[in-house]
Parts: sequence; C-alpha cells; structure tokens
Amino acid sequence: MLSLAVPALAVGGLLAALVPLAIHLLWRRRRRPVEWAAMELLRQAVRRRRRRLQVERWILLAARMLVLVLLGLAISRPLLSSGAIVGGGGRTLWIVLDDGLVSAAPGEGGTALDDARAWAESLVGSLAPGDAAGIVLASSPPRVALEPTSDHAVVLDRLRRATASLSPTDLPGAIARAEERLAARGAVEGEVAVVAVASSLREGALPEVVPAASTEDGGEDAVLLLAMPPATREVSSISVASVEPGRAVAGGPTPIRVRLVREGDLSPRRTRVAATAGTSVDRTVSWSAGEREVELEMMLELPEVAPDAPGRVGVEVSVDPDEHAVDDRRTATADARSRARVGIADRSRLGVGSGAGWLSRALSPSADAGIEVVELEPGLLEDRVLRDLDAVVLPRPDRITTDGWAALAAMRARGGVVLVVPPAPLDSHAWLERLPMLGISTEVAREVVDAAEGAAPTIDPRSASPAWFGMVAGEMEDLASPVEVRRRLATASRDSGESILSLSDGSPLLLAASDESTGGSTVLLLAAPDLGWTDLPVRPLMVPLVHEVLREGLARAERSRRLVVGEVGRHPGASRSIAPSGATTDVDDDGIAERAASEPGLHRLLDGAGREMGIVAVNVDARAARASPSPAEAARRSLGREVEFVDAATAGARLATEEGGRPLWTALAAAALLLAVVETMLARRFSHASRAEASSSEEAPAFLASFGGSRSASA
Amino acid sequence: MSGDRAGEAGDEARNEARLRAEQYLAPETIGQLGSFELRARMIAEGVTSGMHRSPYQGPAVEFAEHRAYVPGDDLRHLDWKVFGRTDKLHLKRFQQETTLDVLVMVDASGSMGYGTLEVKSGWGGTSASGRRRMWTKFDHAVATAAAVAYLSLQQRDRVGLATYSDGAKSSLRRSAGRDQWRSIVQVLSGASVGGVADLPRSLEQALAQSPGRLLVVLVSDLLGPIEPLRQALAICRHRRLDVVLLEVLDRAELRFPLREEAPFEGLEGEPTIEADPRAVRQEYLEALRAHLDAVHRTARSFGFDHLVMDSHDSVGPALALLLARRQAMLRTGRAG
Repeated sequence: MLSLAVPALAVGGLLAALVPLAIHLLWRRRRRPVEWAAMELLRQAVRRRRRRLQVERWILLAARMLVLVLLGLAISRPLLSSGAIVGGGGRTLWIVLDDGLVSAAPGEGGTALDDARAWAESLVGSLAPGDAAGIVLASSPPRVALEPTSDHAVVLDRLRRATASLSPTDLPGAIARAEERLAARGAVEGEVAVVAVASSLREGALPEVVPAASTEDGGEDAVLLLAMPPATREVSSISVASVEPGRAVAGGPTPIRVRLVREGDLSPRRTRVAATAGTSVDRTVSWSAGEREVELEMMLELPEVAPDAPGRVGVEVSVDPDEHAVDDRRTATADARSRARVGIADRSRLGVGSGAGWLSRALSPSADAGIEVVELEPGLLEDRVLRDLDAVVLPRPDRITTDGWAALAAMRARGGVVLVVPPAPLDSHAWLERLPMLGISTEVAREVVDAAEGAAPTIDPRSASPAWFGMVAGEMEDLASPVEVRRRLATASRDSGESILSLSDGSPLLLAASDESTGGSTVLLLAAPDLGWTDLPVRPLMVPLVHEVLREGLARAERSRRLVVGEVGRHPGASRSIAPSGATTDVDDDGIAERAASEPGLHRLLDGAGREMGIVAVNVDARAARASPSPAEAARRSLGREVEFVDAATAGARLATEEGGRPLWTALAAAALLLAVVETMLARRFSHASRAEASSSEEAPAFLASFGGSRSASA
Repeated sequence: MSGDRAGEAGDEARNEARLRAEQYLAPETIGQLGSFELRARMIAEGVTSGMHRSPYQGPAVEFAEHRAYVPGDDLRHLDWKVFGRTDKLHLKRFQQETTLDVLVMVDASGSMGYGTLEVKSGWGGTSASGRRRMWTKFDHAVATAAAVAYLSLQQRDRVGLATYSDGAKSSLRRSAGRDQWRSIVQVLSGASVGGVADLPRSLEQALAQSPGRLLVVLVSDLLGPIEPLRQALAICRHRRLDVVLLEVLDRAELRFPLREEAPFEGLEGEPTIEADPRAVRQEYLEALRAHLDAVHRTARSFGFDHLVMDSHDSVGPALALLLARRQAMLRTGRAG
C-alpha cells in the first residue's frame, strides 16, 4: 500500500515530468529551419533510419520523464506498507517517560518529572493529526502505560497522571520495550518511528553498566532516538547509601555501619544521623569541603526477641531531610537473637570420637558460644522439625530419607545453612547423588581416596576463600598448615568453582554453594571429621572452620532479606508480605511475590498459618536516587545508543522534519540517479556524436574520387 | 647535363603555371573578378596556360570547303565571291580550322541556389549569391559556363547558351561572332534561379533552336530523378549529339558536415524533413553515392562524360575535360 507524506509534492513531481516533453516540443519549435537542396537524398537517408531514430527519441524522452517522476515521488516521501498506514503523518512516537526514583528530584520548575512531562507534551503538541503516540514508563520494571493512539488528548492526559515512582529508572529497558512494541506491530517500512526519552538524565537515571547495543533485526536504524537535554541544575542531597548491621559481641550493642553520600553542595557542614531499632542513637557527621562520602559506625541496643520469634528486628537510619528526600532514610534487618539454633542429624552418635561428636563440640565449645545445638534423627527430617533451625549439620547423610532431602532443600531455600560431612565408616558414598538438590553441582566420586603412607596432603591456607574465611584470614596460615587429610572424597575436577578450601595437592576439601536470591547455603566437607580420615577434629582449625562457615552462611541469608523498590521478592515458605502501610502482597507456592515491592520500609512475612516468618528490608536504590547532572556525552554513552538531544522549544520542529517514507525516498532517489546516469549514456549514444567523430564529417567521402575529372577526362 | 637542367627548368615553369592556373580557377579567385568577361577570360587563360601544349594553334590558312552562313557567324569569313556568283552566303573553311558547335545549358532551378561558401567582399556573382551571400552552385555553374563559352569562342567554335529550370528560361542561338561572347555574358549575368528542373523539356526547347550536331555541355546539380535525365540523354543520343555532364554540387552536399538537428527545407518546394545530420550522415552519403553512381552509369551508357564538381573547388578539371572532349570529337568528326 502506497501513501504519500506530502501528496502535493507528488503532484509537483508528476507535473515536472511534463517538463522534458515541453522542452522537447519547444525545442522543436525553436529550431531554425535549414535550407537544403539535396532533399531527395536526405529523405532517403532519413527514411532508412527513421524507425530507429524514433525509438531512440522516445526512449530518451521516457527516461527523462521518468527521472523527474521518480524525483517528484522521492520528494513527496511515499510510505510503503504491507498493512495500514499509521495516521496521515506516518509517524509513531513512543514517549519513554522517566517516572523513576530520580524523577522526584527538583527540576527547573517543579520536579524532574514535571520537566520531562512538559518536554513530552511539546512533542505531542507538534504531532500531525494522523501521528500516533504511546507511553512507556521507565521506572523499573518498564511498562507500557499507553498503546500508540492518534487521540493526542488521551496521550496528554496520561502524561499528566504520571507520578514519580520509588523504583529505579531503567531507560535501556524502557527503550527496548518501546522498540519491541514497534517490532511486534510489524514496524512498517517507511514509517517513521521515534522514541523520545523524557528524562532529566541525572546520574541515577542512567545505567551503571553501558548496555550493549542491540543488533537484532537492525531495527535501531529505523528508529530515531530523541532525548531532552540532560538537566544541569545541581541538587544538594545527602543520602543514606547503606546500612550494615554487624554482630553483637558478648551480648553488647550491635554495631551498625552506615555510609552517607552527598552531592551538590559540597561545602563544610554538619549532618545529624539517627539510627532506630526500638531504641535510637544520634550522631552528628561533620563534612569537610569537597567530601562526598563518609562511613560511620553506630552502636545500637537491639530489642529482646521472644525465643520462638524469628529473631530479627528492623533498623532504620535517617538523615535530616533535604531537597531530594527519597534517599534520606534506609532500613535493614539485624539478628537480635542471642543464640543461633543448629541441628545435628545424628542422634545416636554424639559421643566423643564420632563425627557428630566432633562437630557438636566444635559448634558449641563453651556455653557462651552463642549456638544452641539440637539433636535430630536423620531418618525423620521434615519441614516441621527444620523450620525453627538456622542451620543443620549432616554427619550421616546416608541415613536421610527422600522426604528428608526435600525438607533440607526447602530449608536451604528459606535461607538456611546445611553442612554435610561424609560418614567415616562408609567406603562408598551413594548419598552424594542427593547433593544437587542442595545446590552442589560439583561431581564427587563415591569411592574414598586414601593418601599414600607418609604423603598425606595438608590444608593449603592460601586456598581459603576470603568471602568465607575473611574473619580468620590472619590466622589461617597457623591454623591450616598442620592439618593432614589421609582419606577424602575426590572431585572429578580440581577446578571446581565451588571450592572454598583446598589441600596442598590442589584437591578441594570444602565445597560451598549459595542461592543468590534467598541466601541459603550448602557446605560439603570432603573429609569425615574422624581421626581415621584427618586430624582436623583435634586441630585448632576445627572450631573456627565450623563457626566461620555458619557465620558466613547466616550472613548471606541475612543479606538476602533486603529488597530494592521495584524488585520482585522471593520469600520461600511465606504466603504473603505486609508493607509498612499495611498493603499486602501475596506470595506464590514457589515463594515469589506476585508484584514488585513498591514501598520502602520493613515488610513482614507471614506463612500460610499467619505466623510471623521474619522481616524484609525494602529500600530505594541509593544509586538510582543520585541527582547529579550528567554531561550530555556521558548520557549518550550510558544509553549505549545514538541519541539526539533536542530541547522543548525545538523538539516539535525537529520532529516535524522527520517525515515518513525515508526508506522509499532513498530508494526512489537512488533509482532516479541511476536512471539519470543511464539517460546520459543513452543520450550520448543516441546523439551519434561518436559516430560522427569516428567518420569525420569534414573529410570528403572516398567514393567521390570515382566521379572525379580524371576518370571522365580519360573517357 | 645542360639539356637536363633545361628540362628541369621547363618542368618547374610548367608546374608554376599549373599552380597559378589552379589559383585562378578557385572560387576565391574567380569570385573576385568583377565581371563575367574578365572572370571567364581568366579561367580560360588559366587553363590554357597550365597545359603542356595548347590545343589552340592559331587561325587556319589553307582553304578546305564552304559552309552555309548562319546568323552570328563572323562576317569576315564570308566568301564574297560565292555570294557574287550565287547570291548565297557561304563561309570559307580552311584545312586547319577545328571548330565545334557548342550548346552550354545551365541549370537555373531552385536547387542551384544552394551554397555554403561565404561570399567575400568584392566578389561578383549572380542574383543567387547576392541574395544568400553565399557562393552558390549556380554561381559556380555560371562561371564554368562562361569559361566554356569563352574558351570555345576563342577557338572559333560556335557557342549557344540556354538556361533552364522547368523549361528553357533564356537562350542564345549558337554563333561564333564577335558579339556572341558579350551576349552570353549578358544572359548569364541576368539569370536567376527558381522552379523545378525539367531537363527533357528544356533540352527539347533548346535543341529546337539549335538544329544540327552539337556538343552539349550540361551544367547542373542533377539532383532530380534519374529517369528524366535518361530521357534527355536519350534525346541527345538520338540526335547524335555529344554531351558532357558537369554535375555541380556544394561541398556540404558532398560531405554532409552538418551537426545540429533541424528541420530541412527544400529549395524546390519539397516537404520539410526533420533530421539529425549526425545520425543520418552515413545513410545520406550512401544515398549520394548511389545517386552519383546512377548518373554516372546512365551517362556512360550513352557514351557521354560525367564529372562531379565541388563548388568550393577549381573549375579546371571541367574545362580540361571539355577540351579533351573537343579534341576527341574533332578527331572522330562527330560534331561541327
């Protein structure tokens, strides 16, 4: 289907095609007659070539007319489509409106969102009646707020109803969403597709990692990407960038590490910081000139929690309100319990000398170790038994039932820690097949490997993972070196990505796998805590090794209990979450919340029976709240796309210049050019200039000598 | 040695004479001669001075026979004694006298008014050249005819003249008298071009005024159809006349050097033809060749001579042809 963006120009082009005809006729009329005597000879000559000359003449005339027709059509910007033409103007405008966290920052008039909205409205106002416009909201997750419509009043109304969200801005995702829609509706060839990014493009609106330019289907080339110029107004703001509760020492106050970041006004000043968790603590921070970031530690007495309660409390840290208030407070969860509960699934052998015995003593070497050891029957492990535990140790994994493995997997999914050790008496360990259920993917051989006599490897302290053993890194050399491992389970490959501690021969000793979303961890010790296998149980390393594994495992679970506004939470075992405002979000059987978190603060998790399961700290993305202006080049680079910045005053004019039909325009123009070249060649050929030059018209024909005087005279 | 040097000197002199003659005979030269008389005289003398041996050897002295008087004959050759006895006019003819009756026919049809050699200041010419400011085929034909007439009269030939187009326009009875030359000049200088050539008719009319055997010198572009020419030549053959065809064409007609596409208008009322000269040049030259070949074959089929003359070139070859033909006729006794 062919349509014309500027039909008047097409008419002009068709009329222009008459120009060669007119020139042809006028030229014929203008030529001065030539008197000639040998008319009969000329008549014979012309008669012999008449047909060919006429054909040549018509070909030339047709070529010239066609060149002008093509040029006229090209100028008129025809739109060729397989379906409908979008409006009369042939343009589809997708407005990517930044309603993310940073859009609440102050703008030139009101907020940054107000500026973006005004810019978008100026674009809509410049659209032709047939043009369509749609809206994608860029706050995470990006979503289509309005499908393209040529009812511009609807578009303006939807723009006015947009409010600033607390989710981070995802401009690349929003642009991709608009382009997906263009592709999904079969982006019409020749149609002009414009994506207009209405965003102040402050630092928080831009991705931290430059997205790779999409090369799929080459759609980008057909899309014009416009953006409003990056804001230049500085915003003075101090944000609480992070809150990290530490571990209380011997029942004392809990250290809360707080990081503050400021932007805009960097002059010397003082800021009051408050931390609250039942009780409150204030601190005053003194900024020096030019200082952008400070860290401080606040000691906070956490409230007591009931023994059967989940054991976590919320901590909130705030600073004095400023002109960009969305990042002035932040929450975190802290473990308020005095003791962690760890189960050992080997009730029958807790005596000294057994693996369970060594582990039990390592877990709780003294009464004030802060760990309560609970004995469990390995054949009877189930959810009900494991629900109240923070971690479980499995000295006899060979005795765990299938249901028991499933319950352990569920516990790990809830953020629990599972420590597995091989049973010393066994020579073949078929239970290893179950480990993938707990996230361990390294292939481990069933058969026990014995070291050669006198050549038992020791633990290599340099192999200790800083993430897991960072707290004892300074002592690791002394602790690990004397430990010998005479028997062990061997992995198929020494290069396991799950290894956190290895032997001197390079083979892994300790494997760990954590769930990124829930923080649950599984740790596998490849040597049984048995003196027949290793002297580890009687070495000083035994206690810190067990404790650090549990500490890091539990810390990972703790960190997983944080969400950023805009993220969809995973809460295994929970049935719903309740926001500070009381808004409830259901959680499905897989533990996934039905919608993204939208409210910052401490969210309570409840199980199906309505029992408290814990709390989740939901915060705004501190980086996404940064309101520092971005240079245009940095903004362009961050978007990873070719973007054209136009201000509100010229945006409409710029859009008006982007008429539909460009692809066909170029094709027609190219065809006209090609035809013009062909016409030139034909004209040259048909002009017979070369023919005339080849036989110079100034020379007398050779045959005239036959009729010269000498022959006749001889007669 | 001295003999060789003398021979070389003679050759150089002859070459120079021929060169001078050619210069005399070129249109640029003869066009600048103000009067026909002077022009014809220069042409004829140029031709004769360029020849190794002049065919004109002076007046005859030995009586051979009498011949009946015709108007225009020089009265000095009247045999008064015979007149006294018989009361009839007879001319004395001598043994060495070699005279011919020559009829010069000049085509004055419209096509003869064509020419492309620009007339320079001071050139004489006919009304055709005066109108077009070009040295036309008719100018060239007139110059040739005048030279032929002058040359013939100088050799005591009786010369008649006719100009024609669709019929005889003007004519002079043949005569070798003193005033004949002046009469010829008057007719030629007053002639104008126009009309469509009708050669058979014109020839019939001219021959009606010139009974007897003749050498007919036909100066024309012969651009008409071949068939009328064939008829005319057949008439001449039937009357046992000899004919020399001098076909005068302009250089443009011979070479067709035109470049601009234009409407071509004929000079004899032909329909206009739209043509691109560069596109049709080859075909035109082919047609010209075929035409010239047809004329030539037609002339040769009757035993007549045919010579193509370029109006931009010398008239020398034509006069040389005429003189050669005259000698041949005198040897065979076909004319006079």
